[in-house]
Amino acid sequence: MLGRLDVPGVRMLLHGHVHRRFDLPDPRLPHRACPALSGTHTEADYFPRDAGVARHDLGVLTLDAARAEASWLPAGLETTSRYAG
Amino acid sequence: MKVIQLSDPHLGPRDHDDGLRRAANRRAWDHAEHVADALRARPDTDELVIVVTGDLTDEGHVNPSELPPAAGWLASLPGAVYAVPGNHDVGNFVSSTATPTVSERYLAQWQNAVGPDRFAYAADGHRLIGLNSMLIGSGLPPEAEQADWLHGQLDAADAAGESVWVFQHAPLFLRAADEVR
Repeated sequence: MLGRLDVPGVRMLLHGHVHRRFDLPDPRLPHRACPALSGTHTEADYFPRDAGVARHDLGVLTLDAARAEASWLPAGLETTSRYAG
Repeated sequence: MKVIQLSDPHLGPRDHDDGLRRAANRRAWDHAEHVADALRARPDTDELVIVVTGDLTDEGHVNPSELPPAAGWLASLPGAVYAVPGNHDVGNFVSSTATPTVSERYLAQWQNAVGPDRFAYAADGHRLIGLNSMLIGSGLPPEAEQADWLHGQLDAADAAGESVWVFQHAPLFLRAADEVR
């Protein structure tokens, strides 16, 4: 079945599941999934040693007959990164 | 249309017995509601298609009382809203060392509280397809049903000349579509 998706007409596969933890209320929650929406994006997501306040953006695909364009828009959300490790 | 993907809000009970989890769940709800407020305040809500790619709940499979409030949050989002389940909603891959694994009972809980576990939406020369990735490799009857449905959607997209965008919770493969899970 999956081979059917590995063709040019399928432009992109978009998934969740793989996300970092941030704004943890307590570092003793080693496996607690990110309590914020990991569909949001901050640079801190990818640089876990960067602690501090992070502003989140939402990934947006603008699709119309003439184009497919990726961009970001503000999520209206700030969190504080406190990585457990 | 403007497609916004959200994922993994992990909305669990705000009154969880465990204090740490209670705090985490309250924060998760705060964040989710904050984002919903921000989206509702946008001037272009009639253009929005919001896709939530799983782990809507924190333990919705074993604690199905988490599902209705989380479905309420989905309903609070503007625009056209679609969701597919994750491992925290309907169980893990059968090949996973993590338990419990996906089951038809967990799937029925999701369907009863949240709605279908897959979707398709076509507009403007594009087709969005949402899959229940947790079923893949399960051998459960709904896996074959979903595969048949997917082939039908891809055939329809081919016939219409549409671009296809596929959403799911877990990555379907790492390097090649035919790799063994």
